[in-house]
Amino acid sequence: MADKPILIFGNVKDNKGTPVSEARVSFVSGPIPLTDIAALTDNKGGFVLSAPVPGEYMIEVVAEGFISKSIKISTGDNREKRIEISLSGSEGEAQNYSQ
Amino acid sequence: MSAKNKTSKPGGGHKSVSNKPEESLRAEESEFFAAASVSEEPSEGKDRKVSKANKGGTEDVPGHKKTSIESIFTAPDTSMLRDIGEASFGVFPETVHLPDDRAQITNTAAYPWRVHSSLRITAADNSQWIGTGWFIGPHTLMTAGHVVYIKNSGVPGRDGWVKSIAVMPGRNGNTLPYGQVTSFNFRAVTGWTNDGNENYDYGAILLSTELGNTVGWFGFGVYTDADLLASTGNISGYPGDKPSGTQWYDYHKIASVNSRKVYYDIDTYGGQSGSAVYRVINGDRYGIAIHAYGGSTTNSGTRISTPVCNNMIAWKA
Repeated sequence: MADKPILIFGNVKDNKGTPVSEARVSFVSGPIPLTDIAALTDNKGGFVLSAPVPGEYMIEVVAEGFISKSIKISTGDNREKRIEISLSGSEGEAQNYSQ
Repeated sequence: MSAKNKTSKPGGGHKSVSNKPEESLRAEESEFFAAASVSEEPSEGKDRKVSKANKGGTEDVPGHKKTSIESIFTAPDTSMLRDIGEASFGVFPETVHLPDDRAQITNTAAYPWRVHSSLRITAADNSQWIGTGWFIGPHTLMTAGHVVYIKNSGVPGRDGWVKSIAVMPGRNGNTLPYGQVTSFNFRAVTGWTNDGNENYDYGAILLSTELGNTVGWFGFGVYTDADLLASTGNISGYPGDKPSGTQWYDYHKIASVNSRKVYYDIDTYGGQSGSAVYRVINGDRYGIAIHAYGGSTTNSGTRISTPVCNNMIAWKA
């Protein structure tokens, strides 16, 4: 594990620009095995994840009432990345949780 | 199968530490490090609602079917269609290895489901996280080390013992059949807290109440490589990609092991760190690992080796 991870600063909003709090944000893939824990966005829709090594990561954001969103991030040589995530409402759209 | 009362103190990275130094000291000075050569017994708790396991070593979950390789190639499953963004990237979540075989548990107030607890974690910087824990005694839940102690985050003020963890046994969405207890009392080992070594990524949450007597707990044990490789691993927990606070279950044969880790293709997702990886023996559930990591081909957990088992016995209260 790198001594200094890459910090991914994110903000989650709806399509009207209103912050989405309590959204679950987690890595779903990366260059190495990653801890299976999920962050909750704060009341401003913010979160900070730590990518342990440089590389490509996939982050997924899930929130009640919204369609889940996956974001691909390539850290490059940066020590910080900033992302804005806009979620669309799921009203009238099927979300399949059944098996 | 009860623990043998040999004495051996966990050493190296398995030295127990606590956010309550006075309690940690008592544990370190204690000679009560029984070396469990076999296992600790489970308990179904006082509540009578119990779900029996299948004889094949898995849980009886109505409607839960493992997808065979043949069916993947003969019938397209449109239920797996997801956000168009994923199609653009051509990548699906890798901790869920397609096909996604997880099944929702709805009778979460029954044993063994109520042993699994949804965790809401408040870190030192007040950031909030979700994870999973499982009872091993009246006061004690096991979980991942990174659930109780954040290491190498790089975020100012975040690393170290978390401030608190809200424990919700058998949670089902907004329903908390056994309420919620907040803990401020945690355990981990120096291999994790000092070194951030994933081989030592396990810890415990201690409750001030005896909630475990009501919901029950799992046994745990130390098993040989051959025994584990012949076993089916079961995991239930609280993944973040499903409706908030719902419990999901999957099982699969253990894929591989080494002296400190167990690897498996049991589908998991962020929020399931700390889940029990357990096997069923004669209808009883025994933890074999603590789930902690998602990987590209297999997921993995910290193996309950003898020093891990010794710490679990020391932490069990």
